Amino acid sequence: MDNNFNLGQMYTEIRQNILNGQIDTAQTMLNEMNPPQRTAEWYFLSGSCAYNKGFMNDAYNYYNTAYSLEPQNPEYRQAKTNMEYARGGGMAGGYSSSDYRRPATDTDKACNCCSNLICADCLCECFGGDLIPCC
Amino acid sequence: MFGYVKPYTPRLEMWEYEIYNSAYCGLCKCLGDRYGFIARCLLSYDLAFLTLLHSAVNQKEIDVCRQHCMIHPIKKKNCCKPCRAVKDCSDFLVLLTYHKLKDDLQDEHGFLRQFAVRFLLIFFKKYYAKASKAFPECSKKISEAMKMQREFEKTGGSFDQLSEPTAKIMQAVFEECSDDPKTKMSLRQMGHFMGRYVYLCDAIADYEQDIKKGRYNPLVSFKNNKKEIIKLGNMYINAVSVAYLKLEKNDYSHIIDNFVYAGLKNTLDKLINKSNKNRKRG
Repeated sequence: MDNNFNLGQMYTEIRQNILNGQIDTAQTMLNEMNPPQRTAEWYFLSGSCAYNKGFMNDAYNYYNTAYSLEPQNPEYRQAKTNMEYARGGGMAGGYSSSDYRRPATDTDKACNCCSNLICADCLCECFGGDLIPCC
Repeated sequence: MFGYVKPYTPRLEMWEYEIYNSAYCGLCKCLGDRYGFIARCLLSYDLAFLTLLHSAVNQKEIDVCRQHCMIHPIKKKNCCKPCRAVKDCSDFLVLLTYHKLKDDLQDEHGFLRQFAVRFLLIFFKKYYAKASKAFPECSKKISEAMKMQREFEKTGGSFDQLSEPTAKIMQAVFEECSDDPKTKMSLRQMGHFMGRYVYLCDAIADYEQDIKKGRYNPLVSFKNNKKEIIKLGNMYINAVSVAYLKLEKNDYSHIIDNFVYAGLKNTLDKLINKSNKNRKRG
């Protein structure tokens, strides 16, 4: 019980260090922990350290491990989802390189909407119904 | 940073293209004025990007005039007037090129190339002294990173580790673009990942040659797994966009958006496809 309490306190301290930008301190503290003490939180925090240092592949692997150890934790899931989004070519601000100023395709155009409606109306009429009563 | 940071021109508007080109021409002129003819020959489009970023984060607009130059003797070209952005970027170009040349000297190359590098270095030593006087801290950081790179090339390591020196170099250059501490912070982050991206592009471009000649390539650990390489590149580009979003910019952000959201990805895809084709032919 006492041991668990200490562990929790330590993780809070490490987290604070990461938030304050003292990545090296946090990293040393994480490295000093023995392998049996390494819970999902350890992997998550290591992932955050790696991400802040720009070690993307390591960060991705750590986040993945954290998620697989505790899939129900929303924070770990979010971190993993964000990494997957980035790996798939997603960008910050909801962009992706394929839809940056993408020229409007046929289905985007407003007039296409009208012709689609008329087409749907014709089809309905074929079956005896009516979608647009006036035509 | 040599030729990998490019816009995706099909989705660039005309005014944006004009501004981009005038930044490039202005940079060329400024290099000529500040350093001399030899420096102008080594101009790259990447620094035009940095010029735009510099003006964007400092909320300055480029003054454009129409001028002749040696390559365009008949038709006048849009060219931006000398300003701080252009001046700073010309200094960065000299710093980066000098270190690139020194690095080339250490690599094994043919006799002709070695000779050319030695010849250029005679001039660049003088230029470098001037540029490092203007940016002493940046120049120091770059030389430290170059030393680190030489050590890493001997010992090897994961790709993340190997791309660290290039990340540090770009970080040092990008952060000089602003005096505001908050902006500096975001610029540093953006430069960091831009550096990693550039290093990745360089490694992909050299991959075939390196394997053929038995030289070391940082991508060997990926065992030619193209999908993983693209995913890694995507992560870097995403991180660039995260940092970029934090910056406060003026209207030029429309142009830089194109680089960040489309240009980087386009260059990466092109490089991967090119190396695919080469392999099939071979």
